[in-house]
Amino acid sequence: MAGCPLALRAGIRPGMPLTEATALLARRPPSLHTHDPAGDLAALARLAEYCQQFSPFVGWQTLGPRSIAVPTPVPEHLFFDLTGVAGLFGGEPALARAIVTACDSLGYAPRLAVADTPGAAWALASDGREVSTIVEPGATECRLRPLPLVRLRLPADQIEVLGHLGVSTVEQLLELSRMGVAERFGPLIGLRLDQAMGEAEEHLVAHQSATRFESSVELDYPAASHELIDHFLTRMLEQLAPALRARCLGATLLRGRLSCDGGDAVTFEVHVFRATHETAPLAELLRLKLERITLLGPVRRLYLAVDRTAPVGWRERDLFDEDSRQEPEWERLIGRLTSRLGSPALYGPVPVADPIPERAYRRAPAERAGRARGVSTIAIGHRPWRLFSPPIPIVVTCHRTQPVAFEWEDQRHAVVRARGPERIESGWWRGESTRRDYYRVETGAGRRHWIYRDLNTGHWHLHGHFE
Amino acid sequence: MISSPPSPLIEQLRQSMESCRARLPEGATPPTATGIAALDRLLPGGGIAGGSLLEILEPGPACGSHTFAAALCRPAGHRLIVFDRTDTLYPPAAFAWGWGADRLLVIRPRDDMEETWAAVQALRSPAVGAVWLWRDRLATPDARRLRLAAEEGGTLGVVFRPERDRGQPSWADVQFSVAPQPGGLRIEVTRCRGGFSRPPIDVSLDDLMHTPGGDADEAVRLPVSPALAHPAAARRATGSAPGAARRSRARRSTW
Repeated sequence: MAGCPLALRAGIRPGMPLTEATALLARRPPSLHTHDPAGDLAALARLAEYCQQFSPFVGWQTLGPRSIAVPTPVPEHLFFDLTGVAGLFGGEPALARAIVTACDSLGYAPRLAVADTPGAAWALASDGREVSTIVEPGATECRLRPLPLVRLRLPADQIEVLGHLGVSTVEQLLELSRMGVAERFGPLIGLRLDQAMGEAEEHLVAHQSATRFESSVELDYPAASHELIDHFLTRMLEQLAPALRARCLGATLLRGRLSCDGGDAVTFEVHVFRATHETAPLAELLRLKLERITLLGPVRRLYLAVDRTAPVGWRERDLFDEDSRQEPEWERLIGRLTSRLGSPALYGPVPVADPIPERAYRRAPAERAGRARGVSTIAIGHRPWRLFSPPIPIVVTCHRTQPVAFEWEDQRHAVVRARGPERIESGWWRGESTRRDYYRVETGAGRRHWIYRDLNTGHWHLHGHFE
Repeated sequence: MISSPPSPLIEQLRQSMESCRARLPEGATPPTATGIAALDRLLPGGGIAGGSLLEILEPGPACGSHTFAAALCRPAGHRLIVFDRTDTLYPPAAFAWGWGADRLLVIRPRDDMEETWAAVQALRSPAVGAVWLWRDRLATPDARRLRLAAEEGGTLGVVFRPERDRGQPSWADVQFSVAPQPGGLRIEVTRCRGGFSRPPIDVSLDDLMHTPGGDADEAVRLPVSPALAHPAAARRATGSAPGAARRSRARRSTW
C-alpha cells in the first residue's frame, strides 16, 4: 500500500488493508493500481539508461563477498559511480543538481546522496531529509552514526530483534561487540556496517541496456544496382555478426530500410527459419528478398536491424543418423522457400486421428511440421490422392446397395467394380453427425474414384480421385 | 519350338548391354530397381538412376499416375516435395506410402515462375528424395533447369504432363505414359535416353502397391526404417539383389 501525498494526508498508511483505505477515502473515490514489480523494474531500467549521461556506471545491483548471502533489497534506487566524473559537471553539487533536474523532468522526485561508499550513499539518500546530501570525503562515519538501523539495508526481522534489545541507531550498534553481534545475528550486520564505512568492498553492477543489433550506411554516391545494395547489406551483416556471436544469439527476424534518393523508403522484413548468426545464409535470404523489391530510385541510405533473436542452440547428433546430417540442408531449403514464396505457400501435412477424411490431417507450417508427429494407420490405396472440398454432388444408380453407374460432368460412367461400403461416422460428441458410406469404384475405362452416400440425406457425392 | 526359361547369365548380359546402351557416365549413380519386374525390364540399366528427371504423361483425372509415381519414388524415399497448384492433394494417401509428417512438404506456388524456381531449389537440395510437379506447358529453358538441378542434387524429379504433350520436346531421362486399365495401369516408355521402344506393359495395382496378400486390408505394413528409405541404402538393398524384386506375387486384385 502506497499513496500520493493527498492520500497520506487523509490517513492512508502503508500496510493498511484495502477496504479500510477505501472507507477512509469515501468522499473522494481513489484510483487504485495493483503493484507491478516487473513494470517498476522496467521503469527503473529506463531511468538507469537515461542516467548514463551522468556516469558510465549506473545500476541498482551491487556485489559483495560471495561467502555471505546478502538479501537483495527491492530495487527502488540507482547507484552512480562518480569516480572522476564530478569534474566534468563542475563539481559534485553541480552534478547532483543536474541529476535532480533530469529526474524531475521525467516526473520523479529523487532523493540523492553523494558519499564515499554505496552503503553510505544509500543510507543517507533513503533517509532523505534533503533532496541532495553531499558527504565530504572522510566524514562518512559521523554522518552515519545518528541514522536508524533500517538505513543499513538490514532485514526487517533483525532490526526488530535489535530494537527489542534497545539498539535502534547505528551509533548504538557500533558500541556493541562485533563478535557478540556476529554470533547472535550472523555475519550480515557486520558486513553492512563495513560496507557503509568503507571497510568492506562493494562493487556496483552497471545496468546494461538491451543491445540493438543495427547498422546503417550512408552512401556518398547513391546505388541503383541490386548487386551493389546486396554487397552493402552483406557487409552490414558481417558487422552485426560478431555482436550476435558474442552473445550466442542468432537472428530470427531481420528488418531493413532502403532510403531512396527521392525521399521515399522501401522497408522489408526477412524471417529466418532457424536462428543463425552466420553471414552466408542470412545474406542469401536478404538477396532473395532483394530480388523481389522494386526500388523507387537510387538508394542513398541503408539500414538493417536484427529485430528478433533467439539463442543459437547446440544439438546432439547421432553418429549414424542420415536424417540429422541432412537436417541443416533441409532447414536451409525451407528457409529459402519460405522467404521467397511466403510462409502460407508451404505446409507440412500432419496426420490427425480423425475418421472424417477432411479432418484426417492438418496443415502445419513447414518449419514446424518435421517436429509434429502424428501416426497414420491408413493402408496404401485406401485413400485417394486428390480430394475435393467440398465434395461434388453426383447422381448414382444402385443395384440394391452397390453403385452400378454414376453421372458426373454430364457423362455416365458405368461402375465395373465397387469396393465398400466403408462406413465413416463422426463421434456423437462432435455435435453435428456425419455418417457416410464410402465406395472405391472403378469405371469401365479403369479410372478409380471415391464416392460416398450421405446416410443422413441419402445424397451421393464424388469425394476424390485415386490418381 | 521349345521355350526354356532365360538363364541368369543371359539375363545379366542383357542388363549390362542395356547399361552400355544407356551411355551412363562413369561414376554416375547406378539405377535403382523399381521393384516392379516388368517395369524394370523396360528401363535401361534395369531401374531409375538417382538424379533423373522423369516425365509422366497422364490422360485426364483418376488415371493412376500418382500411384505410379509413388511406386517409382518409393525407393528414392526420404523426403517428397509435391507442388500442388490446384490445392486438391490429399496427403493421407502419401502417409500410407510412408511419407509421414517429417518427410512430406506441399508447396502451393502462385505461378509458373515461382514453381520453377522452387522446384529447382528443391531438386538441388541433397536433403530431398523426390519432387513432383504438374505442368501443362513446359518451356525448354525451364525443363533444362529442372534437369540440371536434379542431376546436381541427385534428386528424382517427376513432371506430370498431359497426354497430348506426347511427342513434344522433352528433357527428361525417361518419359512414361500411363493409361488406366481395369485392375491396373498400362505403362509405356515413350522416350528414354539411350533406350529403345518396347511395347507397353500392363501392371496390376497390387504390383504397384506391393501388397503381397492381394488385398490391402489384410496387408501388414511394416515401418520402413529411415536408413532403408534413403537412396544410398535403398540402392544397396535393392540393387545388389535384383532377384528379390522379382518375387512372384499373388495376383488378386485390390479392386
